[in-house]
Amino acid sequence: MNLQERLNNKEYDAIWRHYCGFLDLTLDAYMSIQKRLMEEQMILWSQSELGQTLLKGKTPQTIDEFRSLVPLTTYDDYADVLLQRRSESLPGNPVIWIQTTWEGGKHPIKIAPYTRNMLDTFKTNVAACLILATTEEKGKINVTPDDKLLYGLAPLPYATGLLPHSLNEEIDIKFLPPVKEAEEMTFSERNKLGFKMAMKGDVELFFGLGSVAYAISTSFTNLSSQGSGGLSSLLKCKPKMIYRFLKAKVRCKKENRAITPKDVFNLKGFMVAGTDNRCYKDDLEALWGVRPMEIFAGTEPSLIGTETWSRDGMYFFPDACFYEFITEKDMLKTLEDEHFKPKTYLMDEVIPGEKYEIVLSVLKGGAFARYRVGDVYRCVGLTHSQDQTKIPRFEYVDRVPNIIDIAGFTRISETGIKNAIELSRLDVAAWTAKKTYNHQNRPFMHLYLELRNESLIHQAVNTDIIKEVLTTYFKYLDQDYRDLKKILGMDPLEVTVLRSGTFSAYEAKHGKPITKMNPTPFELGDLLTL
Amino acid sequence: MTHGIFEYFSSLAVISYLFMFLIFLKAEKNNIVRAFLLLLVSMILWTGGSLLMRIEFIPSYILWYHVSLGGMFLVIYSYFRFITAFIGESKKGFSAFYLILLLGCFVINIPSGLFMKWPSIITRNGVSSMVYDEITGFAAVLFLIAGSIGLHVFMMLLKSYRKNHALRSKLTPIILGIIILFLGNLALVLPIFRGFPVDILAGVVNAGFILYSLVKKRLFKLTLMASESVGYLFCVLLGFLVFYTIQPYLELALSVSANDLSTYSLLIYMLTFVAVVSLLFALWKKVISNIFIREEETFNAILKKYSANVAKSLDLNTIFELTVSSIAEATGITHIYMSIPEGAHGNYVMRHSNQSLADLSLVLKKDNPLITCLKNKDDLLKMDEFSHSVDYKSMWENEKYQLSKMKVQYALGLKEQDQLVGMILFSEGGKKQRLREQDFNLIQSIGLIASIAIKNAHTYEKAYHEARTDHLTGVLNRRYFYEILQTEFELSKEGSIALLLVNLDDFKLFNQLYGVKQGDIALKRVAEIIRSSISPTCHVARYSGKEFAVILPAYDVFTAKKLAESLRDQIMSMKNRSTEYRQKAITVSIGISVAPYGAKTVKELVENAEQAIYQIKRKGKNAIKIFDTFVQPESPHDEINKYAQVYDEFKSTIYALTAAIDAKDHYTFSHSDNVAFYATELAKRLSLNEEIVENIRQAALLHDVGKIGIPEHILNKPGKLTMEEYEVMKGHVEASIDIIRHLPSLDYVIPAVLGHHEYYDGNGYPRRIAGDNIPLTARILCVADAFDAMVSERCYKPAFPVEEALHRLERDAGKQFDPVLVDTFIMLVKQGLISPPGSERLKTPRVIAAIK
Repeated sequence: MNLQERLNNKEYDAIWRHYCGFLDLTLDAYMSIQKRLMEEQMILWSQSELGQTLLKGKTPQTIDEFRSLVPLTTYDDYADVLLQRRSESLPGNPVIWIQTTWEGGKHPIKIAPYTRNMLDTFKTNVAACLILATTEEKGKINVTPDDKLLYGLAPLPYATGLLPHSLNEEIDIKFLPPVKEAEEMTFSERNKLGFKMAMKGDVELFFGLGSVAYAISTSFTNLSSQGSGGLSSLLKCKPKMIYRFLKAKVRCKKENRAITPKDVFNLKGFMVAGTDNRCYKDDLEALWGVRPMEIFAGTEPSLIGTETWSRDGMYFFPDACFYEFITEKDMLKTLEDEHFKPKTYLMDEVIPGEKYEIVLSVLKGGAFARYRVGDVYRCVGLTHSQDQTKIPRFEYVDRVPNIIDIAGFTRISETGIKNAIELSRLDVAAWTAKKTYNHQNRPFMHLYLELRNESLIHQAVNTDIIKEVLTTYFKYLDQDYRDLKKILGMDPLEVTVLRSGTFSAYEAKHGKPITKMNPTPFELGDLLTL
Repeated sequence: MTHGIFEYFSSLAVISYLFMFLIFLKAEKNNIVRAFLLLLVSMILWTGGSLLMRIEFIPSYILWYHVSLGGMFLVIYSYFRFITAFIGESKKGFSAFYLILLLGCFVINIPSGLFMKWPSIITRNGVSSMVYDEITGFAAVLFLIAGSIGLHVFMMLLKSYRKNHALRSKLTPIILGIIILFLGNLALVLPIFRGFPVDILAGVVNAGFILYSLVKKRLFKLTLMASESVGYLFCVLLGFLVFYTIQPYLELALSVSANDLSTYSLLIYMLTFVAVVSLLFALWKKVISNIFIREEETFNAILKKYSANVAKSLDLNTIFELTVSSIAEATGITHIYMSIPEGAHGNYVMRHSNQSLADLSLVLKKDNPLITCLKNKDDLLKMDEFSHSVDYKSMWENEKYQLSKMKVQYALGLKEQDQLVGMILFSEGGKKQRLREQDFNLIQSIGLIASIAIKNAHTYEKAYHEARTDHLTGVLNRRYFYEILQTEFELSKEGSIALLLVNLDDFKLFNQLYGVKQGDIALKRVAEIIRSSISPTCHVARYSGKEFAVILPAYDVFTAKKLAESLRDQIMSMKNRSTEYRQKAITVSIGISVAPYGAKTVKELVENAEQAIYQIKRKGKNAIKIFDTFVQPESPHDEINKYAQVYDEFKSTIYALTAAIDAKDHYTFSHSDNVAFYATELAKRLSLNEEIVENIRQAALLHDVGKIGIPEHILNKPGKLTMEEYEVMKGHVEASIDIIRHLPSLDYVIPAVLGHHEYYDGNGYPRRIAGDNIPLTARILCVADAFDAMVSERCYKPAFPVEEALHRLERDAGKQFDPVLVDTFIMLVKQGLISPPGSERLKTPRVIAAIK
């Protein structure tokens, strides 16, 4: 029985238990689910050709043995099998392959297999997110099959494209625009049509990447003014929407401000995914009148966590992945020394306030084991009185320091920056890059560099030219970077040219060069004061 | 005029029976439908006769009594017929016996009323009523006969209910109907039901239950359930009944009216009757058009649209999509899957579903019982029924699990000229929950159209695929490559287009080393790597036996080079997990040509890329070449294969290895040296070029290097080796290869080393290849190796004289040795060009000395 059938039967208690019951788990019960599912996955994985390659023919009998035998992995360990879609080598039969860009990888894209069992877990968990995003208190169900969802995410084969398909296996929620049509459209066409449809017949739910949702929302004024350009288009709307729109117009005129989505729509639920959501949450709440609820998903791990009605930290689903955590200290050590083997901690070993890099073993026949997906979370508590939970709660911090993720759109690696500099033919002697936030709390990449003295004589370079040239090559190398500018209208690069000899002075002072990616504030401060 | 409740209910029952009868008259006939029609006729006769008797209809109530009694007898018989047909048992003997028995009773009863006499009409106080005589003992005989047949029917039902689980749900309503009919007749004796026609009501309910069972069993096909004429008749009959009911009140109203309307009474009656019938008919039409006609029109429209769209397409995926979407639209079925036979085995592979995230991994072998069952079945197969069949016993547990997980409840074979070209598997309806007869009819109609369309599309797709793709690797073939390149080149006139030629280095050697089968696997893997590395807008083709062409629209030189580097790295690091041993790494030479920067035409684009490959090959291998800019590889494997350079580089390695042999076994060391001398002399005499001669010399020096790993007690055993020891000894060939393959630049000696124990007639080892399949270098080595073994003194044998050795070579020419080589070798020995062992044999190994 899916969510819709249960809703029709008014089995609200059963719905809550089935989808959101994991929030009532004790830590022991949570760990028991984790370990039992991991045992199943361990057998599947160890028996597969992929598992055998990484295990070098050994077969672990316990989870502890598995953790000691299987090294921490990265996509490189799977690339050979996954990029060629060699299903027969995997622990489970893939039903669909999800893709994302592989910045700094040996291949332009990464792909991840999803088994039917993974998708079953995905659909249950995505329905849980929907219930939690729309409710204001524990146990209350505020979803109906008539709800319409404005969808601002990329379609398949990207992970976000799974959501409508999975959700529709649970409930006949209408997507604006319809999924099949949306998959054929450009980002801008999709948003325009989505808003147009919302204007005509109302919308109850909104799901998007935080940054994208913000871009869509701010463009609402334009879209709505275009939409109401003629009386004929207004007349196509439902009477209640005409009434709401006209009322909003009058009120906004009186208050002398632009019309915002909350003036027209009464959103029931608002979900956001991706990085840097905290930069947009407040603004989105102001625009829509509903605070967005964050969900956590990725190409490799699938949907792994969600916030609740309290919007105060997220919980990991116990049946999506087996979670291990590397402390921040050890994570930084691995960035300096690739041979260092960090210790991992389980969910019942995390300490509130600590930052951790997450290590995932995808359950239900997934391909990835002890996989470093590259995300950092902070544990914000082990219990929560408002949520009435007794399991650890986390907040997303950012990507691991060697990747600069801008607004969930693009991931810039050290190789990416190096390539752009090389292509630009700028005579850069040394550089370091840091993800920073501007006064509007928007993320950008700040590149500090030093030019060789001799080139300054022959080349006409200043900060603007350097920025312009580098932007051109970042766009050339990275489609997502191009889209960042095109879709979000963001200029995510700031360049500061340092005095010649600054980097070598730093090296002389500290005995080692400055970290190229995301140096600590202390390191950067030291560099800038030299 | 009074109206008895009996008359009213009887009329209603007769109308209901008539309605069912007229509907089923149009149904496609089978045994069950025929038996049901007979049952309805019996009911009509029984109830109708009773009604006409009660109203003393002309000519005589006694006639109607006999009609009613006959109907009752016929009900017993037709019930028996219906149940036997329903449960699929043939009881022709019993059937005929019961018919004769009941007919006999009926005929005997007509003149005298022996079993049951007709009632008498007695008039008291102006009210006439029918009074039956006392029941005689003969009536008990009749009850006994009827009871026996009833018991027989009931026993058959029970037996079938217990035996056939699939039929249970359909038999339940029939059994219930019989119980209700029985209770209805029994209730007549209860005082509470006195004056109420509970038996007639039970009869109607029973007929309703039977109808429900028939619908559930879905064994008949209704063409059009409710025609207009049936509707008219039904309305007239019902109108008559209604008019009959309201007529007294109308009469009363007319009689008490202030104006004298009685003169118009006939007109008013007629108008009222017409109004009632018209009203009923309007209501009927409304119901029919909403339930039957509209749905049928919708179905027809879907079918028409489907047929038109499918006819336009020869693309299998489009046909699948149209088929499942049409079925889903019309019936609301939630899970629909389509499967077709694919590949050389013709196993049925899931190709499409209306569920976007469906697991399509189920493959049913062509001998699967479900496939066999569908091949033999013309209509739908209900999985529930299939699961109770004997065939189901051979279904694999995994297949059962997957089918149940897919929620498959029905299967329809798509047949075209007795060939099962596919199948549609589907679940029950979604919101509608249960599928109805018309849903199945539509699915079958769609299936018929789909069968033809799939067959045509499949044939076309196969031909299309074969004409355009390379059979081995599945990428485009050379012919189609040119077509695509031309098109893409035209489209890229405003932008750029790159062409990569990916040429596998030393692929002939790879084939010789590991066999053609492994070579094919490697080609497939390379094709997979290229295919998975390019975007959907790019194309990959097999350009020649060991060469792939990659068309990259919108790529510039930089991005093409990046891709080429990625391809080269991936190909070089690809591992073959299907073999137990490690294979030599495959390297590639990639030529890149990009328009408009380096070519103006397609021809120029291709020629540039070919030229780039040619330049790489001239200088070595494992490199990327773009126009005139040679991109030198940086990895340690990326050496330039210049023959002399390699030899110089590895001279020390060969020396080190031969020194290792010397330390372990001095005989092997000398033997290798001698073999190298004999083999090179033979090669020179065969006029082989300098490169091959050098190759043979190195191979000879290293051919027994694997003996390093053979235990000394076996190596130097004085007597004959045991079978086990011989097996260990034979392993030296593989061991030699294992050592040499770690020296990538010496890998070209492997074919000679690997094949030097192969026999010309195919009885050698390790691969048991024969004749020319054994590389020439290996055949040369074989002769030289055997000659030296014979003329040398060993711990287990004395040295043979040269003549004896030559004689043995001659004897085994064509068996162990290549006869042509043996002749040449003997000639060389006889001419004194090959020094036989003994006095003239050099104390210092000849070839090794040269290396030093």
